[in-house]
Amino acid sequence: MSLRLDLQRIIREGLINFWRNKLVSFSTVVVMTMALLVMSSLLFLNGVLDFSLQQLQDRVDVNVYFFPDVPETEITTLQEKIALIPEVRDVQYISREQAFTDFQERHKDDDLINRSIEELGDNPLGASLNIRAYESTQYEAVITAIESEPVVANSQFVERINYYDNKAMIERLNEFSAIARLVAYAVIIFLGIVALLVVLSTMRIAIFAAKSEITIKRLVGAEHRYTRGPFLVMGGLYGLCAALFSMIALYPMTRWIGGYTKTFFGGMDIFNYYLLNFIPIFIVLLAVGMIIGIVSSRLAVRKYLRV
Amino acid sequence: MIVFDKISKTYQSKNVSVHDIDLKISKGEFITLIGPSGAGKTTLLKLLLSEEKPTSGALYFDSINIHNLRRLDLPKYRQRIGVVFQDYKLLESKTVYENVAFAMEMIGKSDAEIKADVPHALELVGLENKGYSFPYQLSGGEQQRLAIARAIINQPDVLIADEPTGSLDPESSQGVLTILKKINELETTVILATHDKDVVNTLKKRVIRIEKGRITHDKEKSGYHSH
Repeated sequence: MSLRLDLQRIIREGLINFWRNKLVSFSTVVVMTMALLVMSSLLFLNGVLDFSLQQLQDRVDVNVYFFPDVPETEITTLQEKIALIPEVRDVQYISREQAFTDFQERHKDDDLINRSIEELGDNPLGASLNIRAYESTQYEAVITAIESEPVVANSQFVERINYYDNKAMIERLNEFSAIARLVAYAVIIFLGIVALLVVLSTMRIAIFAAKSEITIKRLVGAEHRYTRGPFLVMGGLYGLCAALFSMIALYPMTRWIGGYTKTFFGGMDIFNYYLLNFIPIFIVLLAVGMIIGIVSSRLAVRKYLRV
Repeated sequence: MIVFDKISKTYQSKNVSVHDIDLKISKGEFITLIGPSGAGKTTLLKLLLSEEKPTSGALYFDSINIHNLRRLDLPKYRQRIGVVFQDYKLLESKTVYENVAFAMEMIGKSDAEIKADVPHALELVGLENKGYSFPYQLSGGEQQRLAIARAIINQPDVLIADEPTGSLDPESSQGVLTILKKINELETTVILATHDKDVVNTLKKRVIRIEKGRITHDKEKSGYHSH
């Protein structure tokens, strides 16, 4: 028999069985949709966690402060060299004038400081470089690289590097990120397994109802592909429908929750996240749904093929 | 063609169902298997279909010990046998037409062949107007006739019929016997298990009586009570 004809008959039978066993199909799709919604809520949780950690990490930076008399060319040359370090996201040069303006702006309401500045009559601040790495764990390596530069090693040029002031905070953030991710993944895996087991049990019940049909097919000479194939098609269809229903259900759900997350997580709108990542989320749910559907069908049918 | 070589089957409950059965069935023969309920007729048929494995002995089909066949090869063997089960074993989720078509799909017949042959088979058993019905919408007799149509559609080498006239009126029973005789004339070996005296006496074919798991009578052109 040609493979095409075989495949055509198996798919046709899977589709017909899916349609004729409406109640079984409906209940299996509902259970699977709920499992996928649990999984997708974890995807969103992961998105929120990533966003929050990124927000925290963005606030961490390292500054190299220079003495006021260091020539600007020395600093801009160092800036170019630092920008070449792979872990460095950006390096911002803050000139003496800029630092002075910022300082004045920051302390415009402090009379004592304003008077002291007038007394001095000159800008006492030096220029600085503001450095941000991609990850908070990379600062140690970035600082080591910067410190090996002759300009920095020269103690007449660099007044202070504030990494050492921030070191404890950066390390704590790193620890927190690692633990938060670990907990998030553990929860995702645990709930994923629970969802898989619930779907597997539902599929078992659905296929148990077709147990005698599988036996009859075997007794009238049907080969494995003909007994198993339509159930795999049905499993895949359950996954496809569940992924579609989940995406539809997520629209009002994320829209409703979005308002709360926006105020709670400082700018992260989960509805916006859903709209922006619509296709990747659908692909993940479709893949997970179809894999769970097909694998659990296969496992459930196997038991009844021993005739 | 079919050889039962000292076949015994003991179930886990230690009940011996068939004991030391030696039996040869030639190609094209018509065998009537009789005996009281629980004598072992159905077990013998289940062994032939490889639905059950023997406890001892061997069963050869065209010199192949069928119980040594791999699970993957079993479908090909079963496709050579048409079966009318006592409990019909119809596919409940398929229509009458699809139940018969399914047997043809199994052996790789094209859609055109299926479209041409299935209506003929349904006409032969008087179900031509029931093609779109589901088995649960049929009477017992109609279900039995559907099981016959499915069993004969592929013109199998062997046709096993376990009580095929059990729930039929005398007229329909005669119709079924006519079909079985016709298919036997086309060189198909027919093994018929029945309680029906009239059927056995009308057929006048080889009769094998089984009692308490043993063959107690095996005679050509016999009747129900002859010894």
